[in-house]
Amino acid sequence: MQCEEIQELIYLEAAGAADSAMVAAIRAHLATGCLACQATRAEAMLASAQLPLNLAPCPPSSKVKDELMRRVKSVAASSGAMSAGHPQAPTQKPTTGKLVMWPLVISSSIAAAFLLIAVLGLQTNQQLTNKVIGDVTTLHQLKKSLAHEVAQTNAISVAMKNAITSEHHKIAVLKTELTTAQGVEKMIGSPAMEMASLRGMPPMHSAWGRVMWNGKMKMWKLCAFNLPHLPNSKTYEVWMITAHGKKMPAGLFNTSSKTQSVMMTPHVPPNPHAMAEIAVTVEPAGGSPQPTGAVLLTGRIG
Amino acid sequence: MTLAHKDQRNDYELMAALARGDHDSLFQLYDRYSGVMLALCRRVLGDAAEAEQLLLDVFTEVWQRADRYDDGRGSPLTYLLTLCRSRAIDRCRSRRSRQGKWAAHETATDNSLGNVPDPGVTPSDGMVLGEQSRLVRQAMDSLTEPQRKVLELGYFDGLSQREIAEATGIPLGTVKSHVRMALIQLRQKLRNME
Ligand SMILES: [Zn+2]
Repeated sequence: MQCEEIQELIYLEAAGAADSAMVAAIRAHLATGCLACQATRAEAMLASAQLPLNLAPCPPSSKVKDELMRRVKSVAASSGAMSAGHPQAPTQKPTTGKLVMWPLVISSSIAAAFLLIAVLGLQTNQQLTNKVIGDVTTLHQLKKSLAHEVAQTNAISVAMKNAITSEHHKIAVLKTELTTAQGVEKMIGSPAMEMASLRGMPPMHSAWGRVMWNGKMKMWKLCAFNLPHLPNSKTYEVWMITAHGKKMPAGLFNTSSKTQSVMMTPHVPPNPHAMAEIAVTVEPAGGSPQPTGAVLLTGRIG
Repeated sequence: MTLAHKDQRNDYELMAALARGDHDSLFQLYDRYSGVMLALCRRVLGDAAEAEQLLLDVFTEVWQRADRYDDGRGSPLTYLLTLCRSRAIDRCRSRRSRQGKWAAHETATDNSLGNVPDPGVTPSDGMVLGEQSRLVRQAMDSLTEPQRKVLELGYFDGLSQREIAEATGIPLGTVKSHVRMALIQLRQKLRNME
């Protein structure tokens, strides 16, 4: 089937009106790696997913949330931790520490209590025996609840460690972004800054971009928008093209899966003045020495 | 009404925390989106009690299978709504096959354009979704009546292209073009929302 026919089916699928044969035809076509149809499907799905926002919200009755809380708590409690419900949740390994030692203390107390019952049983003091049995039951309950607290404390400590690691990672990313932003600000603020537009080529009509450069600072930046995020097996590749049509690889990028956009620094050949055009194609992961895919974005820089 | 503002984490952060087993994130998402999700369940199922049961099941599924969410395929809200719709349509279809196909279908199409909540129901998460909902409503208003109708019959009532044609008397090919034009137009109007 041609892309045009597939795209008709894609819109039906997004609207929930495709039958299983249509869905199978779409899957088969997308499996060939057709970027245009992948982009159409992503856009159509995003559009239809907004339809419920046209409905006036109905607040659920409080019993729904209560029951949800009960379910969540019972899963967490029954697995002795949260790990059963969550493959990625931290595994509960009791470590040595104050709280972890408590159940041991209590276990010894329980053993002692049983010994006491035996002695008291010999003395046939039924009343006292009953009282001690009551105490043992209370100790059992205490042991249970402390074991539960230990599990919870361990889970919290693992979660906090994860959170700290993730914050460190975020700080590192922000530092890099700040350095980049400072560089871009300098480049844009300089009178030597030049800019050219990149336009989307069929089937990427809605793609566009900008290339900015500052000859004095030898800085280049390329921004691209509305380009679908590529799977790991593929990459976007930038090409600098001379007036004589010689194509020189100038870097690889992928767009963000959330925004379908990117800002990257092309590797500029030693003689940037000789360049007349810049283009973007899709290539196998790792890039190609010469373009093999169709041109998706292009602009004149000469 | 306590709203999202008590927790400043965005939806992506909540989903990530949920995948690590953080219960609070689930209830944050619940507070933000249960209203619109319940509206969706009720719109598809047409039964308030069944809709609440489904909402509960969907959130339980989100909790148990938080690792399934892939942020490359859409926002957490899109994921929640898509999951909710899919489960609601499944339930509706199995009910339809139990009751005989057209009985339930007619009920569904009768109020296919109804987006009015029950009397006495106050929108709850208006502050969270207010602006998004306003944009969607505006975008929906820009569609023609037949475009909106075919979209709603497919999306909310789970009718196939052929069933929509039968229910509305619109030719099969026209159903297809209405759906296509409607979605393209919606996407253009809502481009900045995701
Ligand atoms: Zn295609």
